[in-house]
Amino acid sequence: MSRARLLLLALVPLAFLGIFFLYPVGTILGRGLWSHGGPNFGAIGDVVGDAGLRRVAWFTVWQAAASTTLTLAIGLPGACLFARYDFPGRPLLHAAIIVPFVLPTVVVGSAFLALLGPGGPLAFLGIDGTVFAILLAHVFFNYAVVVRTVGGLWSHLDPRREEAARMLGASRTRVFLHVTLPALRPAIAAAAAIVFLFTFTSFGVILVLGGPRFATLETEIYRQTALLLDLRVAAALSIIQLAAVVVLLGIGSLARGRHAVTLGLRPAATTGRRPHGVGPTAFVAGNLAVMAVLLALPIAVLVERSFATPGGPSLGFYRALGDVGTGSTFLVAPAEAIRNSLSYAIVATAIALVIGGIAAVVIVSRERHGGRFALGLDGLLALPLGVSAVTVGFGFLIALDAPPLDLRTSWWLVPIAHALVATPFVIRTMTPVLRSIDPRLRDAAAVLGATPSRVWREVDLRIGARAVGVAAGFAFAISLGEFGATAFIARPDRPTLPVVIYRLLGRPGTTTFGAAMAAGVILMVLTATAVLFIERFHAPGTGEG
Amino acid sequence: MSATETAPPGLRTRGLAVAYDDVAALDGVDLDVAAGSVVSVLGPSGSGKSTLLRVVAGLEPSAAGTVFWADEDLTRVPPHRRRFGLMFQDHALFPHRNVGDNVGFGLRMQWLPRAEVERRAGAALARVGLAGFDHRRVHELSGGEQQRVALARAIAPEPRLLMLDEPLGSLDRELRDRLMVELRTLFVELGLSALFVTHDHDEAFAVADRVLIMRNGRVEQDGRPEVVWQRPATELTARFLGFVNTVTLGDRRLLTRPDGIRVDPTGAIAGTVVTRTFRRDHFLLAVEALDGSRYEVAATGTQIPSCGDHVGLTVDQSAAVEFPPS
Amino acid sequence: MKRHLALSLTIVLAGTALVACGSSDPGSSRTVTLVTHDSFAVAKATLAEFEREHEVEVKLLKSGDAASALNQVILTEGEPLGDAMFGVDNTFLSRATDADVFEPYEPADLGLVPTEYQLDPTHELTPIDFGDVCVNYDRAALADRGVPAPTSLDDLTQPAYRGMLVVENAASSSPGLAFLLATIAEYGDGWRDYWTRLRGNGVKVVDGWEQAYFTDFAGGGQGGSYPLVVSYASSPPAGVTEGSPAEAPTAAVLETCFRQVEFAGVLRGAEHPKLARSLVDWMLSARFQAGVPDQMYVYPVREGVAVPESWARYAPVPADPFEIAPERIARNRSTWIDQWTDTVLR
Repeated sequence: MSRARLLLLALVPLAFLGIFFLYPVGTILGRGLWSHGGPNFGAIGDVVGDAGLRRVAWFTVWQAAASTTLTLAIGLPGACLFARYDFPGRPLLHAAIIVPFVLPTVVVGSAFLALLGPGGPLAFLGIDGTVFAILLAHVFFNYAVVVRTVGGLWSHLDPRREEAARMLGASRTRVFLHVTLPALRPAIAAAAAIVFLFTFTSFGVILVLGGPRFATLETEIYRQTALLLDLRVAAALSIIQLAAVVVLLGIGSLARGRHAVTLGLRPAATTGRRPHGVGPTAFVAGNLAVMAVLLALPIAVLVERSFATPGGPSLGFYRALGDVGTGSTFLVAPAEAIRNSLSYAIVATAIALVIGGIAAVVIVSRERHGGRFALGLDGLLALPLGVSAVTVGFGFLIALDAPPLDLRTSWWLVPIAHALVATPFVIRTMTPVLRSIDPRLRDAAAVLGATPSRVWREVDLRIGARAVGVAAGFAFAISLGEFGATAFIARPDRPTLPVVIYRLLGRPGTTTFGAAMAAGVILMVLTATAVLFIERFHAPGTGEG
Repeated sequence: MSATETAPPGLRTRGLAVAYDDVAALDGVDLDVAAGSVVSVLGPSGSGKSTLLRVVAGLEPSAAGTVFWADEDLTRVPPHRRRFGLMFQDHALFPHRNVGDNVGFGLRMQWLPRAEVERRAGAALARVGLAGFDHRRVHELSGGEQQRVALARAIAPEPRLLMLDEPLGSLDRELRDRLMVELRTLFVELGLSALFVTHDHDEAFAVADRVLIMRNGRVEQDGRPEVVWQRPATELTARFLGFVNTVTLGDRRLLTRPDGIRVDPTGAIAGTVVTRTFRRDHFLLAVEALDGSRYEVAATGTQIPSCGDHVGLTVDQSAAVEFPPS
Repeated sequence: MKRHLALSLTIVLAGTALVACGSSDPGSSRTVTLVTHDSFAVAKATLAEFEREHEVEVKLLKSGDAASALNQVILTEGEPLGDAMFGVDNTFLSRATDADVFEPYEPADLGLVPTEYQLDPTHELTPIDFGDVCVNYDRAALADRGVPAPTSLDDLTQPAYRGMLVVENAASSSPGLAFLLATIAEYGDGWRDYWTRLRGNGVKVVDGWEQAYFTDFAGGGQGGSYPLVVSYASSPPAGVTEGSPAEAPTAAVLETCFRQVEFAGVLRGAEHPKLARSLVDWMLSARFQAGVPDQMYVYPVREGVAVPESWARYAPVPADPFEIAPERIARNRSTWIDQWTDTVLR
């Protein structure tokens, strides 16, 4: 594709980001830093000079680094499992592992507390209320990010390279270190960057599991903005947070490497095989055990609670959930909440796929020419992950207030906010696969008469189809489970499932709590079903369908 | 060329130049492929022959020079509008499509009706001996089958020029010999204009009407195969084409192939056999002469000297080329 | 490929349909917008009655918690998001009136509201409901430990109640802050000593009410073990699952309560100021007020409105709750929270 056309194409994601992120965030930061008719950066100095806030910043960084490392350590074997082995129930499990990713933190928090707290089955670990509980919860939430981002690429790697290395005398470990790992580096770096950003800006998990002793930059920004309306300090904190995120994204880009790697990809279907022998069987079993304890146990607690009515197990809470919609504006019937959730998710996914897809294509095309532009675009579009939801939400309010963009109370702000969060996932899921497409396939298509856009459709899109499926699944799940960003947007009252859960949890009573758990279970089932459907729809091999 | 004159159909490039990091990959290449003729480009790795194909295909921009098909200036035309076919080294089949879809790809790009696409793809497959392979998956095929699919894919849209980049490179010798004949037959039958890049002499000379020798981004020689084969224009070309022996007769320097020197007890050159290698229809001997120079000699017949034997050698001057003394 | 296309098309169409019915405005000519926090609730029938009477559609614009919703209103000063706002409480009252974002308005029914709730002399904000944040106890859990219910804030620092109380983070939770204010009202400058003693007595601080009540509190029904929790005077009726026993399983310590009053007002610059005033009138109307306990778990401010029978029995209104003037709260809020954090959490 010609340079001019690419740059033109790049304007789409840039405009989206500019209008719905940079401009609102810039406006609110500007308001905080503008005093006495001019910019005043004194607040930053004040914040940096405050020992308490420095401690908060340090804690934010190290817990995020620790969480990312732990998630990678536990997630990489999982990625290998899905990429290299075939076993009964694999597709279902692959869709199910994304469930934790969408659960509201309050719900997960209560499940973890039930497990780790006094009397819980894992109380013997003694990590309730410690930073380890936070790390564990971060692994719970982000496991799917690593498994799916890295596994997506892994399943396409040609196993013959590994076999070749084995024949050359390399042990399994050395094959992994010297052959597999370098090939996976782009995906690992992408996953690590996302997990780091997520845990760096972690909010609910820190508060619920760590207790109020632990504070992060994100919780401080929330407090200063939403509670105290001290925009000056909030802006200073946001800028520090942003600076950290920019540095991090820079490191991530460098780690990912600038040069396009061609990996000799094969259709995923041919690389999975049944485990044979003691080693592989033990590997599969070990991974399944990890998932059972880490992912299934907390979820099982939720499911159990949704049925645990006072008179013994029953569907009572689900029935109660059906009744809540009648009579009051406070809650809606589950069917309506599901419809609201799906509407937002479909629109948010569509936006994220278009914006992220275009960005991925531009990035990969420019990379082939060694451009810095690609790195910049990639990093820029990841920024929304590193900025507090409250900053974005309040920014919308004061920036998008004049026609033609008077969207302050529009229905569209919610899916747009979701799409901002989902777009980096779309990009990071798609670029490694697009990047690894043999460029001669594009040449072959062009020589056979395909126009540049058709080359893209016939080669990039078709081979990237599985990545599109995974990306769409991610985006959909993010939107279904999103609550943080939504909470700070003034929006017409159309409660989604997470909103229903929060509202139920805000009231005393066994029934409302049980109904909240039931709504949580419905959210999980809905998410798993939607993701399974989306992936099936795109999945067959690498798009032979 | 004046505007009124009509150029004959065929490919014509003038002064093509490409440089990577200041190293010239193409350095003023003029190339003509008359319609219906087959031209092979022969040269060692890095001589620029693949780059030449990519520039002609439009996949690589040239820094200077022009690409014409008859009167049509294609220099700035993108690859998909040149109506050229290219068969890639290692085939570059679409892994996500089955055989039929690979072969029908170019036809689909012309928005032909589906039935037409299927019919013509089937015909192209039949032409390369793979009738009924439509629904096979690409990665289930053997190397030779993949090569045929790639060929079928390239010819199915009936390009006005078919280019082949080391098409037989990865195949075993026997298969290669067979396919070479098939290729030649196909070119003739279809009246194809073809541009064929290879580093393999047999391929280049067996298939082509004309052979170009490339080195360091330049065309060293351009002529009919038998002429190029027998009368290389430069010493480097001669060496590349197998004129490995340098014989000095007085102030004349002759270069010959191993079959240009005979074992002859009466020969003027005396030496000792150092190695003896069996080559199906002959033995290749390395002979060290008394003055220390070495010769490679093809020996046939029943009396083949053994290692250590003292032999005499005679140069067949009609099979040798002469270059000025270095 | 065809199948692919057809499926894509179906999904896009289905999505559009969902969006279309999700976001359709039924084309009504008039819409009045009520900006509020996420906890606002009203019976649908009550809302429909208002819409019928004024031939208008009411759009509820919700955003986050009370603080976040008010701050959004302040940030959009002059170009309000809607016509009226509900959900400013007395701890934020001064911030709201200082920001000059509300129009003064005195509803006709204000006379029916006891003066103790009329905290805004400028009449920019009209009281709608009130609630009390109190220490709650679980009767069975206390009986198990053989201790009587506490009867004062002081009791909570006694060894008898060591390790029994859960409170919320005053920095992030509304009841958490209310309880802090109760202790400030009671102890004045000595409040930090009180909290030091409370800390010494093993108080547990958690982030939000949900966690305190459901996870840690023995009376939350989810297996918690703490007998005492900071919650609302109106929480106990929810613990009665069937029948009408003489007393609920939990109860509030009425001597530990801080009163929260919630207000509504007309936004300055409203597009429909007349309808906005009608909304405030409506929220003070007998019908709306009667629904307030069931809908929002708070008491009506209007005199003579009956509360549900279970409330009368299990959720008595504290006679003499702690109060602090809104201006004083506004002035010191940030300092108090910082000092509290230093005292209790560091």
